[in-house]
Amino acid sequence: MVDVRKKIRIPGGAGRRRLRLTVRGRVQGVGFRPAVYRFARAAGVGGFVRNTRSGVIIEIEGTAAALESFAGMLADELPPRARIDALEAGSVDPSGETLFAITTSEETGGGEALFPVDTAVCTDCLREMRDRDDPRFRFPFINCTNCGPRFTIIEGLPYDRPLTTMREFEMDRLCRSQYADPGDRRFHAEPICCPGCGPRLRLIDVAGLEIAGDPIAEACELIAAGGVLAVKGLGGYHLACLATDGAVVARLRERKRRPDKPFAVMFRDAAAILRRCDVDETELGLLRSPEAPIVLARGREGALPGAIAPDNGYIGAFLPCTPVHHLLMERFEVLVMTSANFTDEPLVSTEEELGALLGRIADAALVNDRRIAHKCDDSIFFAPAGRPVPLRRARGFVPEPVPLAAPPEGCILGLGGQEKGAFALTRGGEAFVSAHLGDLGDLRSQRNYRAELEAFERLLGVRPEAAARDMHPDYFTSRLAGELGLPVVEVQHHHAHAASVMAEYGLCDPVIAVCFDGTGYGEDGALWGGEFLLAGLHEYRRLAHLKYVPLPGGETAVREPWRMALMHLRNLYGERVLDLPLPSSLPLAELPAGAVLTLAERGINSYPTSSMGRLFDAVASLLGCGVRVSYEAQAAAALENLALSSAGTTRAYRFETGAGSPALIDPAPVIERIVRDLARGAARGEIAAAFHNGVAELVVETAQRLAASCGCRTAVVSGGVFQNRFLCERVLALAARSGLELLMHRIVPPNDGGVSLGQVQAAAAMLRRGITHGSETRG
Amino acid sequence: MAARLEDERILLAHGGGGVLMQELISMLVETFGGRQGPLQDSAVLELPPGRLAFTTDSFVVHPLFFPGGDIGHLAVCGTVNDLAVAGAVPLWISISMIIEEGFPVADLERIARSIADASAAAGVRVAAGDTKVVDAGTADGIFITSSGLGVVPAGIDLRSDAAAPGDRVILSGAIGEHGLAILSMREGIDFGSDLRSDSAPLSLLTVPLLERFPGIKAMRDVTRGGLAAVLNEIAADSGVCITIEEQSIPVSEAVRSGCDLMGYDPLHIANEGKLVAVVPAADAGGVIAALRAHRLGSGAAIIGEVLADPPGLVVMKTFLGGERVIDLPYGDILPRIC
Repeated sequence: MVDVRKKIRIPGGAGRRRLRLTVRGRVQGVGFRPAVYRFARAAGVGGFVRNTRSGVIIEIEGTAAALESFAGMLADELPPRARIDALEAGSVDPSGETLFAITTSEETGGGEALFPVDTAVCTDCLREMRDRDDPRFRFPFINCTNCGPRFTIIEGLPYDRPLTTMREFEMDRLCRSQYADPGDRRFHAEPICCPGCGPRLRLIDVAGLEIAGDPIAEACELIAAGGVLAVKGLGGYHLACLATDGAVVARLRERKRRPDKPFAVMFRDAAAILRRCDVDETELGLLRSPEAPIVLARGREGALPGAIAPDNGYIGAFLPCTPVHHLLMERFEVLVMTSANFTDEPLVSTEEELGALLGRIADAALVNDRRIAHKCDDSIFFAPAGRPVPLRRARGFVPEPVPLAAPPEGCILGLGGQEKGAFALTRGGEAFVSAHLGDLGDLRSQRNYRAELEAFERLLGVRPEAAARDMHPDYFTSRLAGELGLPVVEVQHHHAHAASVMAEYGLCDPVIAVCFDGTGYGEDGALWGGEFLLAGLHEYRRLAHLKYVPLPGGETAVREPWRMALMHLRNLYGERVLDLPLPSSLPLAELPAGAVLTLAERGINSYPTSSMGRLFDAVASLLGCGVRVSYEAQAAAALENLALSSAGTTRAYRFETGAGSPALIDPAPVIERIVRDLARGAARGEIAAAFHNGVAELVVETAQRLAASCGCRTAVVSGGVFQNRFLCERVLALAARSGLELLMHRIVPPNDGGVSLGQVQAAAAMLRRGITHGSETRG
Repeated sequence: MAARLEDERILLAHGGGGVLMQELISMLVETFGGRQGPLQDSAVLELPPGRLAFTTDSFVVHPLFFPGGDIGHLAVCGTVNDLAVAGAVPLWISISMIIEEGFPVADLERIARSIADASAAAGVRVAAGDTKVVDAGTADGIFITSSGLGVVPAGIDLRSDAAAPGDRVILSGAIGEHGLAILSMREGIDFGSDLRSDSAPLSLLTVPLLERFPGIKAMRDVTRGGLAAVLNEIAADSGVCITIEEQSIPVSEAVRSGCDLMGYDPLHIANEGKLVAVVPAADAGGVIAALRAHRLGSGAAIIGEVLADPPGLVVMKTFLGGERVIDLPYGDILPRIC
């Protein structure tokens, strides 16, 4: 943000003067030019405003007082979505112009900066939608320059109606006149439409036949009767059903084949959320923001059926984001509103794809004929200690670029990981990160990934000159790297995690990076995931990590956390572990424990891993929170939920850190204490909290010690383990007490959804030094 | 053949060119069915009409003896199967052994008998052979290389680049048994049920099948790398997409639970008596019926079909409705869960 008033210095003296302002930031596709037009008219200045490749150019001409007045409005009265990041002002010769105009861009081609994000319907549009006398009364596609679809309808740039999917709707007289009127809120609102010319809402049954009557009213009836409704939103379909009826939720789980993973819940308004969840100012701000993401909020005990988020302390809450959702929520205070897909499959966004869900998951669908050009899931945030951290970056945030700490020399493509696919493309000093593209093991996700990559290259007008990939040999993205015909840079997984936070904060000097996640391929062929790195942009050193234990059965050990419990018991007690009395909360007698020990001992499909995520699994399983899991981090979420029940616990288990380089951190003492505490009948919640506290102390104390010895002042944390609010809040509190500057993600997720940003940032620095394969420095 | 002492061992001298070597060779020749004339440097064979199929394969397996077979049985079946899926009628094989000094003679005899039994069952003759003895510690008991000759009848043309959209993909029976039986025995892991190698001569299946269905386009025996590797090779060679249905792929309960335990996917596990056939849709029903009529094909199933796009990919429709891309691991199978 810049101080607009300070930047615009009005030359003194009498008579007319003319200023030329170049404005950069979020100033395109957010109603900025119409606002500037209104300011100019109100201030009585002449001139023009124009979108260009390098930002918005404004020329204003008038008396000093008039220019002063204009500058004041520009500083104080920007449209809600607009943000000025940089402003240059200079005097030019007055031309005598007294009228103000919005002039069209003289430039063509892909270089234009404009590539706006979708936003939730604004309050002005909502007011009109509820006004009986408004031509758009109850019109489910109402939008204006301040709100509505953008990215999800864009098929070409510059952002102009003929290059959006709205070109299929010819404007009627009302829309045409508003579109052309610089004084109207819908001036150049590209998706402008009204009941006379816009898309049409239809309710269809499982056979695809239209259900007669008012689609909203009929859809509400269907939901009220316990049915599941597919609803077309901005970037794809939702599945909606009663959130307050456990049997309905259970039926949706069965149909969706999603036994445990929490469902997002849409609330009518903030008051409805406050009735069922404990939310703070930050969370409320996020919920009500134009991006309207899902926010993981603390649900009140019994506020919603347990089936919404089993063994999970949080409810994924959000507010209506489109007029259609607002109309539905007039009838319901709260509804399940989950992505329309089968588990692990891509989001359904076309009527053709919808066919697979109709009759199998959904009983009917609220469809419309506005095509979705890009699949875009709901974004998800959580807010540890009042800091918003994204967990999934999609609707409302994509394709807003992320400024890089150090710009690359040419365009670099970061291909991302595997299970939470997302790529990043650089243009100049910025990275454009794609929406969340799902699990890339699925063919449809791979197709969508390729299509989005092609679209981003075209829309941004870039051709990658190098591709950055993970070192894992079998990721889809690793294979893809080989097909592109580009120089390939291999960036180690956790180095990419570290670099992603560095990029967010513009850090070029080395930092201590604490990267805790499930698994990432290490340069020694082991599966890393409990790492303390000294991370620069182009290289890193592994300073400390969790001691290796086997991952017996590979991915099966991820789905069966009890195996990790057994491995950590084995790490503590040795191979005779099964002869010892072990916690009864872990039902080893009913499990093939002997055979799994054999796998570990003989090294059969048992890669060594230093994963912190797997240690959370182990502890969760020891405490009886999961023998098997059906979604990622389920056991860790259950463990956090347990810890929340003893949030007052100040005890902390201590890890043992060796002296070597890299230093080995042994969790054996932690496991030993847990076993002892279980034996003496300690509350499970207290044990879970003491474990979280112990990990938090490990993070901060180790980072602080390493920072001191490396002469750096900053630590960054990344990786999926830091999606745990209990852990993050303790880490932040300890860091604040210790004086260590500790930075968390704020733009991309700590999980693998953020690695593509780190890949392009690291690759840019590596390429400058001619490094293309890993960048670990040893010694 | 005289009974041997239990502890009699192969000596380096068994490879020395003297009497001991003569005795060893005589034993093997007798076991393989006796000499058809003087032992010469080459077997000279009268070829029936048709195109010649020629293959060679080396066998190293640990343990050497396992439920359902041994290295000798594998050496015959592996080579016979390579000929069979090329559309050939297997006729002759060679057996070449590299034996480690100290190898029990009784084991060698057992392997030789197994070779004899398997070749008799497959209707092939051991037409050539060789033995070498190497210093203790330089081999793992015994390595066998076998080559095979067969003749492809007129009108049969099996090629892995011939799969075309619309064709059906047929698997001759349940997968994973060989690989899991070996693993179970080698690593001492009890899967709680008796797993046996499926090692068998597939020519018993293919020769009559191809007589009835000469239009079959491609066949592969599903060995190392498992079903995933074979399907990927056909998809790549033919430039087509092969889509399979998880629920159609026969996998025994024992194999499934063993794979679950070890974290392996049955698609990647080796077999020694299963084949994949790509057949025109019109033949699929007939081929399945013919296969199922034979002991070696009783579990045959149509597991998928050939599509045009995306070329070179194998895609499995999962139980849950996913479309999982089945690719070959770069090396060992590494977890991809983040």
